[in-house]
Amino acid sequence: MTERIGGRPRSRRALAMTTALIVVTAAGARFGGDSTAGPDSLATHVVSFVDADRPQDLQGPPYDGDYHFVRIAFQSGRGGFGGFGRRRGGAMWAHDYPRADRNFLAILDETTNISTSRNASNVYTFMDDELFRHPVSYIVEPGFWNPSEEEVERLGQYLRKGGFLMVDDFRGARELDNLEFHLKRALPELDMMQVTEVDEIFDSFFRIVPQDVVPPYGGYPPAWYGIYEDNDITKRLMVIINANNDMAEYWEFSDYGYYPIDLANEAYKLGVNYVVYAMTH
Amino acid sequence: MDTLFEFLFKYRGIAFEQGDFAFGAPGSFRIWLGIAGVIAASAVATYTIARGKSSVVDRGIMASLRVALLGLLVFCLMQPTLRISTVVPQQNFVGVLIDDSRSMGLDNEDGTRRSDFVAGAFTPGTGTLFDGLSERFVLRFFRFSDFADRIDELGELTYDGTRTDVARALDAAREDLAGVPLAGLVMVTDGADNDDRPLTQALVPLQAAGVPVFTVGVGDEIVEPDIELGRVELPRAVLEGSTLMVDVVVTQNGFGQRTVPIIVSDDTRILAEESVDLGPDGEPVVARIGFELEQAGSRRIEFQIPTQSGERVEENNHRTAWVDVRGEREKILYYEGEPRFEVKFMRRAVEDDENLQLVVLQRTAESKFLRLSVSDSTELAFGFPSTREELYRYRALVLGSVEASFFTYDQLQMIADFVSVRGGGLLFIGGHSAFAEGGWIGTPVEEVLPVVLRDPEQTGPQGYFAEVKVEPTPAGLAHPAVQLDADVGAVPARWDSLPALTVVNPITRTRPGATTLLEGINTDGITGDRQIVLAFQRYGRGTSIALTPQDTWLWQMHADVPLEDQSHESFWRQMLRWLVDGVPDAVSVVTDQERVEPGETVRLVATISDSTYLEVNDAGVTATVTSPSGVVDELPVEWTVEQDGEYIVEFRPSEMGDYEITLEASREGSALGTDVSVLHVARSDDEYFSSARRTSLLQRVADETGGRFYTADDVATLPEDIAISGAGVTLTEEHDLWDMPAIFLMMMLLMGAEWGFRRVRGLV
Repeated sequence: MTERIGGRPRSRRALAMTTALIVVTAAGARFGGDSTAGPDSLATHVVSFVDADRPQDLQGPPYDGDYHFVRIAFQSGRGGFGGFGRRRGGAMWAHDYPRADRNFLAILDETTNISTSRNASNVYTFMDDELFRHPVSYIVEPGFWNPSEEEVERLGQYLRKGGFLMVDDFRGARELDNLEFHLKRALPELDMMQVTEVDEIFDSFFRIVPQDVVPPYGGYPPAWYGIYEDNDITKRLMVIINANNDMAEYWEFSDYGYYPIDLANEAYKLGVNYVVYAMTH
Repeated sequence: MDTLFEFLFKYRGIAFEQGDFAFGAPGSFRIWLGIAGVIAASAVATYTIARGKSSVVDRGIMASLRVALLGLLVFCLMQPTLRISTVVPQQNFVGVLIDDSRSMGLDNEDGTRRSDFVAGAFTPGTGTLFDGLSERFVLRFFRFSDFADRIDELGELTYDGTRTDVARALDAAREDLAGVPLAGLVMVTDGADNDDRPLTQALVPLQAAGVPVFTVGVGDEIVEPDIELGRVELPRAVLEGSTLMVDVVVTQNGFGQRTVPIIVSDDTRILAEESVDLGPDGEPVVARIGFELEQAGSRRIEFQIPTQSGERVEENNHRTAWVDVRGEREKILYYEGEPRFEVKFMRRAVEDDENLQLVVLQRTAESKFLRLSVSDSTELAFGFPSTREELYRYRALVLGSVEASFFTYDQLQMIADFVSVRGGGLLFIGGHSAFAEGGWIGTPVEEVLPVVLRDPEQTGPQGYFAEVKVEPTPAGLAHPAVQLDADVGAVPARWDSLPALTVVNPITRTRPGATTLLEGINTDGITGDRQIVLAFQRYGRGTSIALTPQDTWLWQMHADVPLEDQSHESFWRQMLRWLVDGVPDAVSVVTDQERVEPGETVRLVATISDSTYLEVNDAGVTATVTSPSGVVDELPVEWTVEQDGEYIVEFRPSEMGDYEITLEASREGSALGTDVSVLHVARSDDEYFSSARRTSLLQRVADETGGRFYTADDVATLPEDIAISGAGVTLTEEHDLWDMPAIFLMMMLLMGAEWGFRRVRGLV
């Protein structure tokens, strides 16, 4: 039985305002030097790994026992690990990187007791041993994910050992189907199942009503899928899938004013809940 | 030697030990000294005057020999005597105590039985000792084993007693014969005493009463060839599914250093089998056997070494022990100050353990908590327990990375009391806010911890971070909590295969009395003090444990650890079971012995406390004892007065089998609690262990009471020795010593020496 106590805002609106304040504060005060950097400058920043076989220079700070946001890099069939961009010839795994990752880490640091920092961002492939020192990882654009046998085997080991994978930024049945296909390769005995709003993952830190999380674009209805240990919804979630959604999009531009603060808040809350859940379940 | 002594000196050595020396001739000692001086002077003068061809040296030697001869003569004229107190015939009693235990039925090396000596020595009319004793004394016979009583004839001996209690036997005989003149006690036994009572308690009254004990040792001092499965110690109660690591002591004589199997089984199946290399003759070796106990209930565990060809004693090849396997679900509170992966992986490690309920109170943000695995919606509803009643519901407490300032002073004191008063287990895990880095120095909890906290300012503002490779200490290799493999020999390799962990709390010293089970070596290669990884100490009624790494979950998650590896799960399962092992309940009952004989008195000892574990002296306590056949007996259990909260009652089980004891305690109409215990009533095989003749014990009994120790070979003089022991009603006898052959021989020797000297020197 799981119960959440204390710190419960009086209303959802109040919570949203609280979180928004944190977002604004964090984005304005803590992100300082990056506040003027737009997507172009980020593209300039990451140009050095555009043609690299593996993103060695993106692996980030070494393991120190704290929580690190780990993004999974993968080959999408567009020239190695590709470059940065949004389906314009860049790497599919790198969407919203690194601003989304670092903004989220800043929010996580502000709102929770998790030991982390804004710079605790790493990029690994499933073949990197170092990935196994970070039991929570994040992958985007699974519709373009085409892992090798070795990679799915490693993913299966990672998840069975206790790893947790957040899947984000994709839409449509075809991409979901591609994701399910490869997850089935990694975990043949487990099925992708719908995650209902009463699941603990929506109540591990914030109380979240999934229907209130509006996708930033695309027009598809959001849905949550997952893979449960032993196909038992009372056991731990090993994979959480934000279908038809893109919470990192909110994270990346939360300090730009592109999206309403309420919506960005919901995306942050979702991410915080995922991490807290993954660290306790 | 004794015979030669007696030939030369007329009497046996014991007569000289017991008697007093005196001279019987009239006149004072000075007069006789004067006479001796005159005679000596005359002899010297004679040799001085008659010089002849002799030199001064020659005359000196011859004069000395002659003076010695004359001195002996004067000694004889002084009529030396030996005064001995001897008993008045038939005026004194002698108690004969005969060992009636099972070990007396064992065979000697020559094929006879130990009990054969008794029949041969004490059968009226034919017994070698009986006649000699009965001529001088009035005999009273006793038999003894776990009890002692008078017997009228040897036919009452059964040699079936399951214990040998020498002290009780001596007490019983002394008390029985207290009103009569007692010349001594004769104790016939192999000395294989297996009672815990100090022997001194029985010897002091005998010394005070001047009663000598003459011990007669029967049996072989070394029983060979034989293998003995000696000590086996198991906890009385364990949690279902626990893995036990049991040390078994094995000793052999006469078989050489061979390898034999030890088989552990319960009533239904073999639990474990381990080979042990036997040591040299008489040298015990310790074999470590691990096995798991699955089913709840009282379990009979048998340890056995198959009988080897030619073994003298087969019964000492097996040991039986009972373990109460408890099926309860033990509740552990884990308070974690920051979300981190230790929570997730620890929960996963024990989620399938039906006997552990790991309740997690996870602080996710300031004043924001997540409760996991709670029993109901009210549990920990207000955060960390603020009352003793609430905290003491848990049997163990795990504190993660949480700063001391989170707690009130009362809560800190409560945590310390949780260990010392409640007897719970406390586990402190490393982290940014743990140990000294969490401000725990100077708190009531610091004293509870088994490690010495170092001022965090010494590590500088950057904090401390190190990667350590963990390895077990020698103490760790012997501790069940860190046994990662059922094969004891494979444990070091298993530890070596695990990846390094990280620590942020530099801890290199333990408190006096604490034990380190795991150490860490820095992987940076810089030599320095080893990191204490796992240490524990007893504190009050409980145990406190420090586990300093912050990420034991790497033992599960790390890329180098195979998916099927169970090291992390085993470690945490064993750690948490260890944490709750032996944690007392508010109401508990135990028996003072695990197994008793039918008719043997057993004592029920109950400890009664209230919900805050304060001892209660005014409780109403009842023990309901159910016999194996279903007979129910209700016994009121009374407070001892001597100790707070302790209640005792005695009873005697009469049936073989298991008695169930249910204890209920209440006060002022409200129940304080109940507890159940099981008493096993069965015959004991103790007599077959350490069954060789224990000469040292028998010698001690004899020496400390003024008696003498005998074996079957030299026991013939026993009646006479008792007669001159001086105890009982005695009269003094004087025995001449002047006619001792030794004196005559000495005279002849001196005369012959002088004559021989003259011949050699040509002075004849």
